[in-house]
Amino acid sequence: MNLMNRKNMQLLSGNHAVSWAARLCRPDVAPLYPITPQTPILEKITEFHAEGLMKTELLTPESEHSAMAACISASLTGARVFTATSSQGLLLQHELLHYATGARAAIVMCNVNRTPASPWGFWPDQLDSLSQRDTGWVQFYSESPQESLDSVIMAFAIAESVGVPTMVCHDAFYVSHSMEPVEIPDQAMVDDFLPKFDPARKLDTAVGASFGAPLDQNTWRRSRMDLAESLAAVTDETIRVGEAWGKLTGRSYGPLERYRCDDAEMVIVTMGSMCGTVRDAVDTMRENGKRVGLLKVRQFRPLPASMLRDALAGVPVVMVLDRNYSPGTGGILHQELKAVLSGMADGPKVHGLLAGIGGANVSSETIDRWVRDYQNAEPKPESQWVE
Amino acid sequence: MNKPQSPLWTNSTSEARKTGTWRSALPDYQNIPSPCLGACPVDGEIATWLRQVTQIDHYGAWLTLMENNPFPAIAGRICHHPCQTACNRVQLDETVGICSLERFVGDKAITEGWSIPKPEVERTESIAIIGGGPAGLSAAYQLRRRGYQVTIYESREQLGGLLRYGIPAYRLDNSIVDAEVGRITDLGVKVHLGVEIMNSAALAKLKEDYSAVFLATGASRPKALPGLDYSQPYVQDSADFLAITNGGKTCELGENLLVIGGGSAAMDVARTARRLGRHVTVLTLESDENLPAQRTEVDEAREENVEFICGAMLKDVNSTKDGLILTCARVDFQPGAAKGQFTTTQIEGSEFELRVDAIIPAIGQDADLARWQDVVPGDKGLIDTDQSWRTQTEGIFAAGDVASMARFVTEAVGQAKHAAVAIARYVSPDEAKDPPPLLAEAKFNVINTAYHSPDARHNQENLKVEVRLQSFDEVQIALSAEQAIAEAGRCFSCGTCIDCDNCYLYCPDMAISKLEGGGYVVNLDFCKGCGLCVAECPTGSIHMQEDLPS
Amino acid sequence: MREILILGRGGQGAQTAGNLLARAFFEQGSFVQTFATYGGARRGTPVTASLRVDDQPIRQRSNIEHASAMLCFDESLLEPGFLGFARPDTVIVVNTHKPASAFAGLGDYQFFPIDGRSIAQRNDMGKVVNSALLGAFAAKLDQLDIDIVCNVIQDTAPAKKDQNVAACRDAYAMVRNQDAGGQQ
Repeated sequence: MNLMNRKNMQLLSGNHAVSWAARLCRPDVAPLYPITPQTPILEKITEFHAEGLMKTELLTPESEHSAMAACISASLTGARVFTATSSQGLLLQHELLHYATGARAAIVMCNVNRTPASPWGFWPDQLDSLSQRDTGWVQFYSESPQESLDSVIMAFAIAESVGVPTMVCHDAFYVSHSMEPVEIPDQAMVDDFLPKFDPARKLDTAVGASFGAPLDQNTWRRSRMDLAESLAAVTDETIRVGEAWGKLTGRSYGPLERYRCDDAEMVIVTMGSMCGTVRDAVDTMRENGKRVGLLKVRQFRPLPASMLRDALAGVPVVMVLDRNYSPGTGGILHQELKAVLSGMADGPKVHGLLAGIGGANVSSETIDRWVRDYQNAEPKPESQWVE
Repeated sequence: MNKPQSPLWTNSTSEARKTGTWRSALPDYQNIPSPCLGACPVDGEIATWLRQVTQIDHYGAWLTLMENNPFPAIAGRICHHPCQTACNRVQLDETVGICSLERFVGDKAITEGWSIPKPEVERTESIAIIGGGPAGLSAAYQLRRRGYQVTIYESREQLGGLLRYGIPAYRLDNSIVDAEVGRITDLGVKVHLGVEIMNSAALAKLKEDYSAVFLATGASRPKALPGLDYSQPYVQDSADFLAITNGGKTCELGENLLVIGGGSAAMDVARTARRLGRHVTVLTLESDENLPAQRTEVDEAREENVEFICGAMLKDVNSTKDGLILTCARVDFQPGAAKGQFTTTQIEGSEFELRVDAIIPAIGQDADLARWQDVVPGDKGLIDTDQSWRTQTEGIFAAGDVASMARFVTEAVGQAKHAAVAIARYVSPDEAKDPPPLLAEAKFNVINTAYHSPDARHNQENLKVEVRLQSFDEVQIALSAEQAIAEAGRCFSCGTCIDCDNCYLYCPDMAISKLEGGGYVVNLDFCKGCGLCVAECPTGSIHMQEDLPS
Repeated sequence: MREILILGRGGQGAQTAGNLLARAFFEQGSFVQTFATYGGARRGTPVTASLRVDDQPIRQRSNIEHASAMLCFDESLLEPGFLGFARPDTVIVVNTHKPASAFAGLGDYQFFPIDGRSIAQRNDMGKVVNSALLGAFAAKLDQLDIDIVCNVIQDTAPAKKDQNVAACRDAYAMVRNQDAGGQQ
């Protein structure tokens, strides 16, 4: 295979790929506050902006909290809004993440997954965004710079059609700072793919309507039911949008990806950059006659529960690799997956491995060893620390 | 999926909820006097014209100033500015430099050649004004602009009085006096120069010829220092010295001069003499901290190498062929209850000698009352007047230094303004209007300082001392337009609405509406009396009042 | 898949060298992936740039544990921690004025010493050695076109473009000469 056959290829880091995606989506407003390892996203966007290549209202407020406040207000006026953050920045936004969902603000954010302090670190770990799982934001986990670029563009389509904020997460270092060949889609194609954002209701001084009044109990409940209805539609929307994008680019995406899972005796379930390493490990093991597959969870919220059950029906053993540790609970994907699979007649045995916490290296050889260690073991309810 | 019927959005209003029924207090928009207004001798609407300066409405600012004082360029140079002493801003950082801003506006009017609007009506009643100094001119201006026929009788060859003959050019150039006095005479004031109303008979005659008479002859007679022989060539009174030197003539009094006195006149003499190359010592009864001159005058005199001997008195003068040998003694100075009152006790064995060539006493001046004693009696050196500046003879009024010990130019201007109002009431009672009642001043605690950032005062710079001593050029350099706008912007506008919209924006019930042409109105149906508007008012111009059900 | 490590000290240009090398392979049509130490990186601390090169998409996103080629900017960094990533057949290019025999005590590795400093100096590059080292390293890496490497340097060098390219070619020629048994 030779890269020369592909047009518009550039050697880009995952972060700069996200900046390119933001530029292609033409957000009206982009409130941004820098934080390692998200900063290159902001830097590249400001560079595009300064060179006149990206026309947007670029806001640089005094904190991530203010940036999110600006995102919400801008979005409610009907503006397309992009922002990016990481770790402490995302955690600082927490209360406004809830607000954004309740307000049905169709914001798109890139979160660079980084260890939350303390101890201080800059390493890949997904606890920052996974601990926002109850805020209602749609969450996608990306494996590569190319997927991050594609996911941001698709996220706008999903967020704006469903009316919920959406987060594209990629791992610090292995995706954010890793330079790889990335294909940049044509601007005209993206323009066609993403029609102008035009929500049914927007804040407008010329319109005699207001947003945000306190609601009585029953009306509040009704607003949550509306939200639930919208979130329930996200998975289908992810499929529709992912297929449409695939027709344009040859790169399709869905809520889940099954990689060599047919006839598998064991399926490894994980999210983010580790998926790539698992693919290599799966290929090597398959060459050696071991029937192992990968189930990549790309859409973590809303959790595609039925799809997960379908994907793992009949699989004897599942090994979840969690690059996060929820103190007192264990691996978040492990816990969620067990809940989803609970009660299945032919449900698999589920092992939960705390793998690569804090960015500790996970090579394909390591994965191969874990498969050997766990394929015949009796699962424990707790996630296991492994190295 | 963002449904048009989402419960998050509403088209309905809360107008049906009459939150006004909850109210026990109601905000009231009422501009109240700023402390600077209360302190201003001419009742200047300072907050108003400072705001006009910030809006680059210099003409508007000048008209506001001219309402109460026809001399903004003069007052902006020499006023003792009690307004600044009263300024609330001192509790945040520094007082607003009101005086320098008044000068800025006054100078602008002169540069632009603005004239005083002509009277709207012409009246037949005539007023004679005796004395063409600050008080006489102020009254002439206030009466003439109301349409009265005004005639000034001035004993000197030019109008201006103390402004022209008593204040040196480095503080107040005569071109400024010419401009601001000329504007008043241009209104159609008749002026008789070199005419003195010598006695009671002449005064009585004027009383016959005019509807009313206003006495504003000031304090023209020098006080005599006991024991000093004024007939000697080495003694010259301060008023004569200043009149001669202000007229452009030089001093004939030798190299080393002793000035006696610690007031403004003494500083003017000393600093004038320094500019004429003389060595000057100032001898004062008062201790340094009790000197009656303005502090900047004393400081600037010291910068100009005037020597001070404070808390001492002259006891004896011995004239020799090599000059004067003065015997002086230290005194213990105790200020009294009222301005100008004090006691001194000579300190035993504290005598010392001074050698000088001449003595210029500058210990103040008295009014000349004896000539009119039969018509307008007085004692304690002043013509007797009541609160409306009426003398004991009906139709004759008096103000300024002839009737008051206040002894500041702007005090005289303010008194004459009030006297002019009283005169108008006297000659045409039908036209009289009661002045509005005085309200309580806006105190610092009503100012919301969150809306006023600390910012140091933009001060006028002074000429360098070396330059000052070479000429009579004005010491203080006027503010630039940028500085003036920035400095005026420091004003809190205490008690004065500045149309900032804070009340309108902060009202949680949207119960405040903006009025066309400025100002606001409270909708009683919805104001629940929370007081947010009052709390967020940066100027203290809204007040909560109890609102009892009617 | 080739896995390459570049080790240097913060400020020496090891990360830049990694990016340039990645770009040269990319320009040749290869799939590449490169990343470098970040976060704690600062002047003088050891920094590593990692580079993977393949003729098909690279999916592994983990640290390189076994390098096929290594470039070391500073001989003081040749210690067990770093050499642990090498195998006996790993090409290790070292910036040093010492002969290969000086490193014999470190173990059974293939050291290729290159005096980057003197090459940099004679090409008017002073202490800036990364273009020279890149030239020498390129001579040891199969299937890398030195002209493409030089084009990338010409495109991206912030200053002294021609001198950078000259230092690169000089070092490349020197290593190729040595390999051909020639004398410098």
